[in-house]
Amino acid sequence: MRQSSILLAGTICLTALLPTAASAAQARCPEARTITGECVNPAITQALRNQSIAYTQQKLSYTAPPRLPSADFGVLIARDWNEMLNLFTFPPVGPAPTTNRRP
Amino acid sequence: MRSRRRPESALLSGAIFSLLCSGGAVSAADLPAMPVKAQVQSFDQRWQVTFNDEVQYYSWDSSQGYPHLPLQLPADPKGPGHGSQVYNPYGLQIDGKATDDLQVQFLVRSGYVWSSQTTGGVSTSASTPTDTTLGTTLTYNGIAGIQPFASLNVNAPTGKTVLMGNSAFARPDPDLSGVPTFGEGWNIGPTIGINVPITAQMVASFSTGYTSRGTYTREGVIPLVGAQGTDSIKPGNDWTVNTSLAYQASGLTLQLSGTYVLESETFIDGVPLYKTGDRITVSGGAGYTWTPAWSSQLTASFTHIDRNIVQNLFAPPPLIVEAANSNSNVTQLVASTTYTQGSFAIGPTAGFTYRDHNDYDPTSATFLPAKTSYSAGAMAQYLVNQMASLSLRAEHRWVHEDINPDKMIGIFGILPGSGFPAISSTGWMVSLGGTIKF
Repeated sequence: MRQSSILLAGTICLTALLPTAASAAQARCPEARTITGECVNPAITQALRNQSIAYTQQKLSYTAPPRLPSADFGVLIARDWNEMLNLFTFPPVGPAPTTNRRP
Repeated sequence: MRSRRRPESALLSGAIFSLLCSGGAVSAADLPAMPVKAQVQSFDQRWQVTFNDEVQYYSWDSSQGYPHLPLQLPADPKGPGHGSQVYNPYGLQIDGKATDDLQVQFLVRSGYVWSSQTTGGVSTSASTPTDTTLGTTLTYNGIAGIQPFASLNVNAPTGKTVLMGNSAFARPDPDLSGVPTFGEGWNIGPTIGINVPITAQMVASFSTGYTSRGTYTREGVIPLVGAQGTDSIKPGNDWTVNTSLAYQASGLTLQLSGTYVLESETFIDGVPLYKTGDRITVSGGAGYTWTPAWSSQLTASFTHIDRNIVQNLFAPPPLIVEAANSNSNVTQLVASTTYTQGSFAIGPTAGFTYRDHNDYDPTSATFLPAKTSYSAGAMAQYLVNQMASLSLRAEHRWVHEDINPDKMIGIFGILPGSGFPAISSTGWMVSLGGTIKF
């Protein structure tokens, strides 16, 4: 009798908890969620994703980098002066013993 | 979703703040202290389209024209240089959810540029469409504790790479203008990465990307003839790894990032010209919301590049490590404070960039002197309605490049007049932008 009561109580508890657990597992977050299922601030993940693309594609395009123009002012990427001076200035490039021929 | 219960003014403030902080892009300042309305909308609505157009005007005056060519003809007055540039980039971005767990982003960006410059007594100008970038990013949200993403961007060569005659002088000083050149080749850039949420407020990110840069032609000199022709340029490909950590809670945002770049050889007409040294960048930022109306942001970065590999006069091998490092370390700081009231936001901005001199002897032709740049200005933004916003940004810039001493010319010794005095430049940048979301 006592064992039956415990089993019954356990079943009731499980029945009560299962939907909660299931709904927690199915809860939708705007973006990522932690390992415990907590929703992560979407501003953080979105900014990190954009940052990753900006930093890993620094030289994809000098005139049309992969972001909206309004985001340009927030990007701190140092100019590669070696490339500026060799590829983009007058006189044109040509064979040279050093890369940075122009002071 | 909590932001939906905030007062309308707080919602607008959050949206403006986030937009002012570079549109959710890169630095710690991009992590707004308040939830971003646009992101809430993206969650509620499956797709959102954003169109952004900016018109940026740059003008500058310098005590020496750019580029600072050595050994200019005596007749060259080496007079002051000046110029202006209008850079009009525009982009369309579509954000949405293909499924409940799969986010998709499409991006198209292009633009137009007008540039004119007087340098060394030569006045010239150039105008052209810029290159066009097409990109897509996929993000998967279906795994707890990890958010993988993959991106592919392509630079389509719609700009102009060959500037014949004196038009090449229209390429301006990158520190005083919006874009230093007007076009490149087909560049293809895949990136993959993961965001790892440590807590709901702290996320680590690991990513890697490869940039395959295609061949393009630009003006050159025909060997032995000396007449102007064209050269085939194959810039080096980049392989980059990046790791970042970001935290945001209680009005405080912090971000730290490290990036390492390996670049392959650059070729001209099929001959290896140089290979840029490995590049490392460390950057960080902080932002704080003092009150619902006031917030401040500070972002900093430091970049170091190792010695290049350069052409060997006594090949083989064709390339050898250069005798000293011809690259400079670059330190950058950007600070801003924003006051938000209703649908209007305004605040001061300031910037600082320091490029130290390279490691070559000052009497060497390869010596690059130190260069310091300051900027101060203001930005403002007006949220017209739930869909549209306008932005205005204005900055004054002061640039100083140290003296570049006269050069040692072999057995002839120091050649008077082969160097440059210190160069001072001032300039303005005014940018007007508009963003529509629907």
